Amino acid sequence: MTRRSPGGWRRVFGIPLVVGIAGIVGLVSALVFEGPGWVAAWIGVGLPLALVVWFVGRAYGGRAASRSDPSPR
Amino acid sequence: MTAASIRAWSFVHKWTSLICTLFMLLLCLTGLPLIFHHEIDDWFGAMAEASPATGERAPESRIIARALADHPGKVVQYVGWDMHVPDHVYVILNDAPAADPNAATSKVYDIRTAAPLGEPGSAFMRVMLRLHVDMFAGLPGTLFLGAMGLLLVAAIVSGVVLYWPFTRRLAFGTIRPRRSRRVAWLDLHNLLGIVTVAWLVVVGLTGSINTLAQPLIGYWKQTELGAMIAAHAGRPTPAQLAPFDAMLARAKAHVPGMTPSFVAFPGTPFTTGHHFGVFLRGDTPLTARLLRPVLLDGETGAVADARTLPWYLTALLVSQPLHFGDYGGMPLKIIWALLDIVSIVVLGSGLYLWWTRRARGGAPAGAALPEAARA
Repeated sequence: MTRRSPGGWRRVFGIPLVVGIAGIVGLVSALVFEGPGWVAAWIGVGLPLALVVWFVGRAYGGRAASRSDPSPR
Repeated sequence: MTAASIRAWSFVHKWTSLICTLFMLLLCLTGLPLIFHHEIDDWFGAMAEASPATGERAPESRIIARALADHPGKVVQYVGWDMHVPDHVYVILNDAPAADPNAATSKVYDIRTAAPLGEPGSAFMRVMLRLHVDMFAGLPGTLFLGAMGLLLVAAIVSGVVLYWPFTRRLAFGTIRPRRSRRVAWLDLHNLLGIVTVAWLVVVGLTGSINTLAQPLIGYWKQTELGAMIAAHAGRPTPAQLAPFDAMLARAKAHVPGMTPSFVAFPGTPFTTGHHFGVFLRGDTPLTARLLRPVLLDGETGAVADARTLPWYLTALLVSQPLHFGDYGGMPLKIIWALLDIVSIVVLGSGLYLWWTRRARGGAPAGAALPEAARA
């Protein structure tokens, strides 16, 4: 995609891909299995919310504690 | 990605989003209470408590007789059983078998005593539902919202493409609250948007599929049902309806292992002018969505025909839970609601980002890139 970063797509799209697959698996599992399927759905479909809470909390909650920007890898 | 292709994708993202955003906000806001419609109806509705469980059941014919006595001049269109509320029998009445669905009256009866329990739903939820389904504009409104759903999917796809140039130099989940307010909102838009892609695509696509319900059922009537009707051409409307309970028992016996979901009376949209249509369901979460129609002679109550549902109606029925989020208990409903709220933030921040760029004099989309990509 770009000459600058071979495999860079994995850094950018890796986590979104995992989140997307977990969500789809969760959505389907509750449809097919009651019980364990429900739990899988709560985890898979709820994963985006956990990530949002984590990253927004880190950016805004840590503001008072630390004065430096989170640096890119 | 070249600057030209970023500009092209930005153009697609901007316009597909702008056209559908207001309608998506309406759908997200009205959809929020709809996720909890059972609970809200319980609070606002005026439904009486069902009698204590005894294992007994009133014959359906008694419930139907009671409903007709309660609503003089009306006819019964449908009788249904809610898989989530086993105490309730739904009876839908109208002025005529094929009258306007929006003019129908729904009433809930006690499955054991046949006593009326009240009207299902509440006025508040009915308004939310109409706004969500057709904006009080009938089938054109529904189809329009379906088209908006497809635009949303296009906006998501272009957004995913743009996610690359905007975030490739940033660690995943970077939010820069100390940069300008615009940068912080851009970061938030990117993060919230990218993690909800799968969910929003599923809800958007299944919602669009749901908007096709009426045309798909119409097509099914013309083709499959049409073939069944042809075999009974020229049969008059039944002068005297067959005894309901015996008819229902025959339908159940015809498809062992399935339970009735609803019965369509002769002349209603889901059956022919001469037949009862009994729609049976399985009992696992998936098979409960896959209805199996059995047609029974309206006069004799004999099984006339039974077919499996065509693939497009199966797709429609399976897409409904995936849109409603009502198939994984209360935790899934809460997750659904929170993802709905996240989507509202994505829509709102997108609008804000477009507006602030516009206010700055409409710099081309690529111009935002160095600012966005600098870590």
